[in-house]
Amino acid sequence: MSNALHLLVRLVHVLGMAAVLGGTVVGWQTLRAGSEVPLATVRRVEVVFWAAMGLLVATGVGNLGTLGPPGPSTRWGTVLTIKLSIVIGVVALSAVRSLAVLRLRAGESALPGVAFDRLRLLYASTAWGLIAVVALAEALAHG
Amino acid sequence: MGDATDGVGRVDVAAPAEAWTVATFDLVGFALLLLLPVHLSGALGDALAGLGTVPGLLLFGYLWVLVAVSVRWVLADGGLVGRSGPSSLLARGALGGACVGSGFVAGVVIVGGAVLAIDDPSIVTSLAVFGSIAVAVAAIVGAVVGALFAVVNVALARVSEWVVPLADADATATNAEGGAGDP
Repeated sequence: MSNALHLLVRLVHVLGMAAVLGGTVVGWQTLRAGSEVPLATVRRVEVVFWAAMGLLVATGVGNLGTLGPPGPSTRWGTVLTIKLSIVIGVVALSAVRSLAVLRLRAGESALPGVAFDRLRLLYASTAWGLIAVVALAEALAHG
Repeated sequence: MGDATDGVGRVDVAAPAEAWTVATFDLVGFALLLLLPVHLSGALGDALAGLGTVPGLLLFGYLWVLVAVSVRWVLADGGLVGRSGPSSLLARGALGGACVGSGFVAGVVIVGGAVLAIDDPSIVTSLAVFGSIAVAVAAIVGAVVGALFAVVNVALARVSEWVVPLADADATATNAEGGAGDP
């Protein structure tokens, strides 16, 4: 039962990251492909993003409790410190990105060029940040 | 969930999504900003060892619900940047945080106390006293955290305004610039 529960927690964690990274990349590539913001799509991406982010943090803490993390001075602890720092940065940038998207109303999908580029840059930077988090998570899981 | 209007009759379907985004950001930010220093102090393993997976997830879920309800109330009637001044948001944030803090501890004390009282009913009185003090302390801590996050939320909203200026604001700025140049 305990092993099954831990597997379930890890499954939700992995699926959560898939949703968060996948949604961010969808937003980024959608803005790269066109000159207008597909409002319904990016709004849905943002709502799902935060649901998945909440699940990620909950199950991430659960994973840490199961693993019994070593101190910060170890190599594993150092990688965890870097990962948590990057996650905090990604979360802050994502909040700005989400609030920017949610400010847009129907009929305002054709943004001025500078605003459009800023929004696309936010999607790109959070996507690359999440890719870094996945790489660090792989290092934590498999050394 | 009801949709707010933006003052000119348009339905603002983003209002519930904004509350959801801000609530989850506050919860996730709070958890991460708590987690990192505890990890750096070397106490993370011990801190998590005493908390089982299921109770931990239930506590996180309970806190999530409390924060979501609280932020929805805090942002009602104006959202992050649409109200008359930041001071009202600060006050509502502090009050909402106090409700979250006290509600969280009260829930833990009631459920945990009920489980303990089944084995030993004599501890109910001491639990009530201890619980009342804990709820009061949690309300104060929650108010401080709520006010801090209200400030952070407004700051992030201001940055998002810079990222994507509203068309209305652009038109107002353009008109103002044009007006200033008129004889």
